Amino acid sequence: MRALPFLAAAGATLAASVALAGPPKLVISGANFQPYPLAVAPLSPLPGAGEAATEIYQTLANDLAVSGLFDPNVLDPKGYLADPHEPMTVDGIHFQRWTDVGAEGLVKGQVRIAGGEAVADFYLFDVLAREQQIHKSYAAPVAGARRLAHRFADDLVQYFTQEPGPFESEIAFVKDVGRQTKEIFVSDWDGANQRQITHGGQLNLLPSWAPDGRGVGYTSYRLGHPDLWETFLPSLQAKVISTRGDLETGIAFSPDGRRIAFAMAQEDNDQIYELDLAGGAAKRMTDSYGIDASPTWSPDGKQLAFVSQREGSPQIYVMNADGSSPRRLTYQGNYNQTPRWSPRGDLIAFTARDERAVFDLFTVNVQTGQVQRITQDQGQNSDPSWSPNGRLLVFVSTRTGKSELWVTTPDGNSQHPITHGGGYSMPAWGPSYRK
Amino acid sequence: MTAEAAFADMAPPRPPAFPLGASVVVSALLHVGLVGALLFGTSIFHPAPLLQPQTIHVKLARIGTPRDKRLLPRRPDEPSSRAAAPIPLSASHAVEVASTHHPKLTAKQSKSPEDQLRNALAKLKQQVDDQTGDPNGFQTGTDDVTEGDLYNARVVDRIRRFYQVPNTISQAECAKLTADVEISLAADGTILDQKTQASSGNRLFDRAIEDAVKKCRALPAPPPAVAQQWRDGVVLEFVCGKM
Repeated sequence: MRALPFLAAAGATLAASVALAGPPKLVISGANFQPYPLAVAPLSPLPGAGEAATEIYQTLANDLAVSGLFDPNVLDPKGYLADPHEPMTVDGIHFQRWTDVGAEGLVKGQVRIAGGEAVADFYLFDVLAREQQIHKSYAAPVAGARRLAHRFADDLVQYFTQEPGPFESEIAFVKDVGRQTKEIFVSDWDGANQRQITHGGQLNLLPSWAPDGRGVGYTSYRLGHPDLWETFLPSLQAKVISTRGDLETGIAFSPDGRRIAFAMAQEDNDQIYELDLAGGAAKRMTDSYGIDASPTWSPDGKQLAFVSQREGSPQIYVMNADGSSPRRLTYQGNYNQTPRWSPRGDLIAFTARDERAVFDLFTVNVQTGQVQRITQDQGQNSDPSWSPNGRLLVFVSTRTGKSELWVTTPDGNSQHPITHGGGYSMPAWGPSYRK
Repeated sequence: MTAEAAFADMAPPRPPAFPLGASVVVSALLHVGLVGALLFGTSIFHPAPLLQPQTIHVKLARIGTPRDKRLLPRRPDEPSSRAAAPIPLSASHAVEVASTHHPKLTAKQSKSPEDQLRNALAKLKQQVDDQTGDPNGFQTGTDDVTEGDLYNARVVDRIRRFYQVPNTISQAECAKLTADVEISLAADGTILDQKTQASSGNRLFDRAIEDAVKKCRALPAPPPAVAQQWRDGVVLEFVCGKM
């Protein structure tokens, strides 16, 4: 008998239902996913608020476009002629016009300046039901008006996905600021509002956020050799965490913020160590002949993933947080590195060099070991870091000829640059928190 | 020469022994006979076409070897410049036609009517395999199902084409979502009525499945054996995740 899975299932269900004398039932499973058709009308400025309205609108539209959740064809304002005088009320909106351009959701808003602050009112309408779903009103200093857009973008993501949005979070990254000088910077998630947080004039590398977002750890040569440091925000006060080994890199804070894992070289043997930030000696977690480096915590803090050369080529391994039961996770490729565990816990993103000697981003399923490619045939791509909700990744790409930061969805279908000018590397996406 | 004979030579010509119409008929018959003889002769001296059912095994062979499992995977969506490059597919390379009489045929060898027929069948098979299929058909075939099962599967097949939910619904939430919609059909398959029997609790998902049914407009006409059942109402249970 040839296999007819869904047919057999449908038939069986139908028969069972008939036997119970109720209406017959057919089961239809496996929905196809598609972006939600959301239109965003340019925000209406009250007198004096034109510049702020434009900035907020562009920031909001970019957030939603990069999210990968919404249909870019409907988001694109070139697809429709919005009436700037259309009111913000259900009774005044010409819903049929929005239906005609394929929108099922509609965002409208108004911006005004009051008391030196930009005040934005945002509305979300259900075009098909002709109902208002959300009304939010926010205020911020005019200079930080774009923050209002991030906040409402997070509200939209929360509304549609029942998950927190990532747009109020920040990223840390390394930027070339001079000859042989790399400093740590922090910016909004979209690369705007960049602030330099280290000023050592040396090499400062591999930033990693403390889980409360109040500090960034990194490796710095400011004392002449690579040690672990942390700079606290917003004070920018810096302190050394560890100066123990010959080479200390890859600091990773545990999810509870009490411990760090890092790679430390002693007598030319890199191994993974763990350190209680309250004090005490560093505890060695791995013991192999090959190099072990780049630790990353599972979101529950019970496991660590890391890179090891113990079987010849660099591969991704997973072990318990106490160092027990290490197991190899990747068997494809011969140069896998920079693992980053997803906040959802199911995937680990990493950089791998493929058979064409090109570095690209991949994910590996922690349970099944299945590897999926994110980037392909677009320059060198490396150093992925997850957004706090696990729906986006920031990474480094040279596809434009310069080293820039890009953001992608984990399936690689929506990729956008967030920096320009070159010299960017080693991004780390910070935790989600509201300022 | 007699006087009568000489007189006869001087007389006007006699009318023909057969009238003109009869000559035309005879000529036509001769032509028909000639054409028939030619056709008959052709059938004698050439092999008859294959009239008896005969199994022709067709095997499709894709050029190249499977990707080494030790290598990192490639994305299916190659850049357009690469994707546009045609995959070489010829009778001699991509389609291997095998039978007891002709283990392997090439385009140059297929000249006889039998070979031409085999080639035509092979090409037809290839075309069928290359197509996505009859919109009302099934990839796995329908040789062992009842008429009612077959119809149910056709309904499922059609509705699934419109079963699209927004990706704002996370995979984790999708795994929990189900909703029931009851529909009734006219004898011609027109959807007479649809109503949500059990909501999923997710507005976007509920709307997506309502849209899926609406966009169908009509379903295949139910066979007489189950027409009344479908007129009375059948519940469609939409499961967001895969079963």
